[in-house]
Amino acid sequence: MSAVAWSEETVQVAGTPVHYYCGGEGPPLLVLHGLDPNPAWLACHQALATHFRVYAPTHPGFGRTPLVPWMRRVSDLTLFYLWLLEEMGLERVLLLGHGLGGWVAADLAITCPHLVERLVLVDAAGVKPPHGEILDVFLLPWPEVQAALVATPTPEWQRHFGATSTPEEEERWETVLVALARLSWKPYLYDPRLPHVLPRLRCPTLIVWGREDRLLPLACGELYRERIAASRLVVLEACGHYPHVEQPQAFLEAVVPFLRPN
Amino acid sequence: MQVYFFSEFPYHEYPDAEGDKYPSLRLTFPNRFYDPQKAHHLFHRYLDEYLYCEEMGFDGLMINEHHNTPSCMNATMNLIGAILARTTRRAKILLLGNILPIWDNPVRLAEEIAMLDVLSNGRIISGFVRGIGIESLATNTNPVDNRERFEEAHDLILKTWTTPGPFRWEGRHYHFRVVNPWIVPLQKPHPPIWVPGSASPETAAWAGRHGYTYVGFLTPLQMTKELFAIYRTAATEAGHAVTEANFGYLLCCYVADSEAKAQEEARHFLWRMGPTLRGPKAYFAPPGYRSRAGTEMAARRLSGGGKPLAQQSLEELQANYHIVAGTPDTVLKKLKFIKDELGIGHLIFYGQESRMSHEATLRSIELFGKEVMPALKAW
Repeated sequence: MSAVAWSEETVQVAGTPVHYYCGGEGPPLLVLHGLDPNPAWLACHQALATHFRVYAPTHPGFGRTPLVPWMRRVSDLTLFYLWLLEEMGLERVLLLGHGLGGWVAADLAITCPHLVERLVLVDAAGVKPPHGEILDVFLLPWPEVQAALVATPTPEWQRHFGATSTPEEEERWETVLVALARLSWKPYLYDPRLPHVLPRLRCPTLIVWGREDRLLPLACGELYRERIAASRLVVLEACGHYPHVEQPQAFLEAVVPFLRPN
Repeated sequence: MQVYFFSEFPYHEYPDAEGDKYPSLRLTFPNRFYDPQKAHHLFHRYLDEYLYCEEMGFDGLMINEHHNTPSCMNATMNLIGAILARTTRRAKILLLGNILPIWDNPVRLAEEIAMLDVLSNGRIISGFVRGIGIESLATNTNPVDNRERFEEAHDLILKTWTTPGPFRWEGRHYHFRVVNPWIVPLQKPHPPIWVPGSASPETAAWAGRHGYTYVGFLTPLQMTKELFAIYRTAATEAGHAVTEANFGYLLCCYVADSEAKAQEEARHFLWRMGPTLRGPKAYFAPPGYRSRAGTEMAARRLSGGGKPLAQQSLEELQANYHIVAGTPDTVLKKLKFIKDELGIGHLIFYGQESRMSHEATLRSIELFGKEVMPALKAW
């Protein structure tokens, strides 16, 4: 892997200092993280940064960006990221979202289609599965959630998402859960209106899903595929909720050519 | 000193081995282990015990509410309150307490409590609680809003009781076009308000600021003193005079004709100390439910008495005054010690648990009423 320079920066949005990782050169790619503290500049960020200018902000309340008290639904987070794009002077982006970030990405692309050139949804929250259930992370102890979310616990996953339950780890997880409860306690991890407005999405969309995702069942990915006309679904085998960390090679092979078709 | 009887209306009628198979007896323990026919008999049995308490001279009858648990069948305490309002004549009815944050309509709650006050001819003491995490989960109320909803529901109920309607309420969590219930409380300006505390310093300070009676629920004595001190500071700052009447303490108690019998019956309290409090942290303190200060106090609560309640033996629970058991003389001595240590004006006698029989419960109530209460009333 080439040594693309990356850094951690801060941008003011609505009076809040937003933490983000950035690195690489090329078309701007906004990467929105999932139900995690956005723990690191990951190998997949590094790989993407060889093709794109990657921006990976931390959601407010998830750790490095402070909680924003008025934000109580995912559409607030969408509005916040629209504001962030303005503050950063980004007029049109490639957009990739994982989990909760996938929900925000879809919502953002629906709200302002002209801002999004291409969209990647990775094991995205936001829709109620037509069958099966979204795993209730609020009822389970943290180690059980960890175990449920991954099918192939790679060393990188272990280091950043699966560290043993130290008090610090537990507190970081608690912080994520509080932020999530503020945004999506009920309905839990979906917006009933989303399937109805997804057809508004016109940009080419790639949906990547781990077949073994026990948080957000593949049925959610299939529903996204069904409701977005210009979309394609890639299912990764032996993969849980973290395709970009569990199967980075397969993930990049699907995502990079999609994001740079020429 | 005023004395109140309390029973949690337990349903300990399932095989214990079945209960042990589940992560907790609360929230997710399957309700197929509940037999409504058995519950019918239990409800009436417990209500008979309450009536007997009034006969034995207890100043009040305390009831509470929990959800999804065999430890407490009262899923809505105001129903039991209504029965007591009709079937008793003298005793105070202590609701300790209605779980404010899980109510989406606090005006309706204000009406229910006002009805109880009118029905009972002004005998209601209205306790308000935040509820343990399980109540939030059982009712799917967002735990991150628990404290805010508690405080706003309280403000709205107080205004409903004390401000002539109609008025409009546009709050953060509650919104009403017209607040103007026909039923308002009989007691003026409103029924006394009590607040229990188990670990939260914020709740102690909040109760102090309002001058409400604050009751330690099975808290270690040293921690109870600390919480009382937090209360006292907040109350004094708010200009409230603080007397013993501002403080209460709840403990498990069994009075018997012999020490041996008392020890035998006191074992029934072990079920509530251990098995019914077992469960994942996610059940008891879901995300955002507790502040950092509350979490620290709760952790100290676990270490304060040396061990969590669940890990204390019957002997340790008695040494730490969570359970007081013995002949009338023994019980009197211990209660005098607690009263002098804490400076309380209200004692809640938690007098039945688990599979303690009706006969054994009545005998303890009788001995307490006839041989302990007279001395205690003079304190």
